[in-house]
Amino acid sequence: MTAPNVTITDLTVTFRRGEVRALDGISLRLPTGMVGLLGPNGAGKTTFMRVLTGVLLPTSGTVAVDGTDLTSRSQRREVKATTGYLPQELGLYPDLTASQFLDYMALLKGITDRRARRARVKEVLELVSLSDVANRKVKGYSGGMKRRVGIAQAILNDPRLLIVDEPTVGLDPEERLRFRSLLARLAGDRTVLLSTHIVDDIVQTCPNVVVIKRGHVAFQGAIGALAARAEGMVWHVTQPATTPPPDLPTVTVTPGTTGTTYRVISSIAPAPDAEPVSATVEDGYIALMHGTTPERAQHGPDLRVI
Amino acid sequence: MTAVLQRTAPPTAARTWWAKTVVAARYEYLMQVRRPAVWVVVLALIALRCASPFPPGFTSTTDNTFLVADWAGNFMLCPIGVGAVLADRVRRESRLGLSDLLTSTPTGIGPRLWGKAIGAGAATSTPVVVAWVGLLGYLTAQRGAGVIPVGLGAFAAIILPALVFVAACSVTVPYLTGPVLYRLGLFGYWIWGNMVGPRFGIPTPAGTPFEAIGEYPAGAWFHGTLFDARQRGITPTGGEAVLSIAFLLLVGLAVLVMTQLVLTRRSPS
Repeated sequence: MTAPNVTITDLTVTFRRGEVRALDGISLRLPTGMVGLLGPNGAGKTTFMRVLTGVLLPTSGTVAVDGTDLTSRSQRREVKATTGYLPQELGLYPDLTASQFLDYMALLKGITDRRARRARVKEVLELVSLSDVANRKVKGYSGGMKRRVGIAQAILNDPRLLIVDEPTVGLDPEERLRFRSLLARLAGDRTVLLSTHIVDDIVQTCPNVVVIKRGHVAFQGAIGALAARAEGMVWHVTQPATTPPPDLPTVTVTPGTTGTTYRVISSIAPAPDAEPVSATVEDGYIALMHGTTPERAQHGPDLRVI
Repeated sequence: MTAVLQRTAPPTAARTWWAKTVVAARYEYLMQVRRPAVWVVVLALIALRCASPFPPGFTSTTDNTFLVADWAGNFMLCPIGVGAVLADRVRRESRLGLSDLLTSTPTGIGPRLWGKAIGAGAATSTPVVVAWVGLLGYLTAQRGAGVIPVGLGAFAAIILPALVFVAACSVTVPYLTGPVLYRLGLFGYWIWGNMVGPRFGIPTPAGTPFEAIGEYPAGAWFHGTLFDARQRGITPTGGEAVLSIAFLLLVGLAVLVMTQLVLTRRSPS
């Protein structure tokens, strides 16, 4: 199995008869491995993922997976058969056990041979460490266990393209780490598109990142390049606690004995005593969201939107 | 989590519609039959009607076919219960947040819709079957095993077509109306279309082959008591009984096929 060639061309999705443009002419090519998808609430991330999984038809544009057009009704099933999806709002049948739910999903994904289905379900349950509770009804599962059932169903058909939307929301730190590591292992020879608000999840797992802002691709490239965008624009400004905070994009606020330290993004030194610091991915993301660009250049060198 | 995913052979994709429908029906059956409401509502409606069997005195007859047919007539309210507890299955996936997940699979709406109709319909009819088997057991103890074949025939000809008809409508019409309005409509239809006879001067299918309570098969094949048909001056023939059953089954089939077509057109699957 090789990772698919996913090419998105001029993808547009509108709602309310064109009043709302959720995606506006997105064109990009997804690289192999883990790809992070970042963006503020309402940027269009979930809409983008729903189109990629064939759940939502775009208003215009094409999505081709190895040349097979996902926007064509006749070809869509072929793409769906090799795609896995963990939606943001994950629902499960509460009265079924994990085993039964996965068996049903495996069938819907086209594994009709009973023996093959059982073997596959057993395999994915082991992979997500749910074998011990496989015969318990899912209504008794914790949030993390339900998410693991979600990822198990997503990989039942051994997908070449795995799309996971906000998989770590609501998970405790340990469960988040387990999930991250599982996704990273799955990404070996497939493309995993991971949407999240948690920048750290992307930093730890994704070599490449796509940032969507108001329905447009604001950035696509290596994770390091996103951090590099903010290089030379990140400052620590320390002020007395009683002083109003600086009117600049602020990444962190750290109270201290000498005052409050603000980590801010600014293309020029925001104060005479501001201390320049090296940029992180989170700084790059905040700079991008606020349209802050260094005075020397408008775009980073690795922007590869096609 | 140390295991590494072993690659399996690609899933078989050819002609799998029936296999998917059968498994979907099995899981729909499992999920529905465990609901207490299914048992409580359906058995309560059977008990309500059978507490004072109608017409008075039929239970003392020596004719087994007549006896069984009139008992089947006393199950006339249970399809309302079947329809009422099936109606909320239609939007269950969307209520549970499963719609996107199911739509993302390569399987279209067909196997899921038919699986729901067959599986959930069968599960909701299970209390009716249990009650009927219980009744046959009681009658067999009283009158001997001769009741059993007649009882099975009466169930198949009088009760089952109505259950199929109501089950098909109850997993399709609520897509349009929502479950609450559907339940009200079903109750109103059932009373008007099956119990409000021509004596009330209202146009109604009651007493025609197009009613759903099985009066025609009961009258034609089991010498059952006729109510609305008699008021119309009709003594049903075998052909009319077949027409009555075929009407219910074909309407059920038609609403399922139409719903599948509409949902397929609307769905990106």
